[in-house]
Amino acid sequence: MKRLNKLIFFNQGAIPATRIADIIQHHGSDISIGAYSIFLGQVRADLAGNDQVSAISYTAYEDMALEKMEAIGDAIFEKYAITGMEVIHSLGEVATGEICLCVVLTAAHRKAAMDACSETVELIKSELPIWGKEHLTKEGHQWKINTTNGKHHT
Amino acid sequence: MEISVFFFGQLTDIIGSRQVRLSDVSDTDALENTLKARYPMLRQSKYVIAVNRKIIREKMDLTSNAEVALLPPFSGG
Repeated sequence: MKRLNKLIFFNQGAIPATRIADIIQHHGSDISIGAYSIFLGQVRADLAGNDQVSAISYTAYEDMALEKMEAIGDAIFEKYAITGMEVIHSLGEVATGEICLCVVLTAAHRKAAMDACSETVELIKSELPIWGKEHLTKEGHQWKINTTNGKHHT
Repeated sequence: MEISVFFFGQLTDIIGSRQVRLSDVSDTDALENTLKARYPMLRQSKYVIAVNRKIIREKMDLTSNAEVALLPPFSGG
């Protein structure tokens, strides 16, 4: 079982499409891989009253996020027959229409890759100490709310 | 004994800073009470406490090198 030393990389600003292409290119040397499952999160122009989200600024408790991502990685590698995992999350400002999250899972077969990717994305959203501050087009900001706030349910 | 407390997300709007130093707090309950007295808006805020980067569920004694953080609901991705 092969995994990178570090599972999550923080990227200042939007994740360029070329970075995602590079990951695929890089894994091409591993001919045991038969399937990739890739999730890309893009900043959406949500409506906020009569205003609209124009960008999200991300901050993270980086040391804790790195440790937590290791634990998530351990659980996912344990549960699914995957061969690799790579996560890139933006920090700082990402405008609407730009990519803020990239999750790549590799496996010999598609089902493991797809199921593991789906669960990893859910865990990233509910368990990693990362926050999104939504900037509005006209003025001000609001804090992003994820639909799954696992650790904060009482 | 001085403890550094870190704040994230919407809590930084309330506290007005990302880090506060507190003295004379021997455990996490005392720390919370001190913070709530100083920043009353915290009483209406949803958060969990992490000590040394692990979320705690019960009162924990604090040592002088403890890394304490108040974490509002996560909203990554």
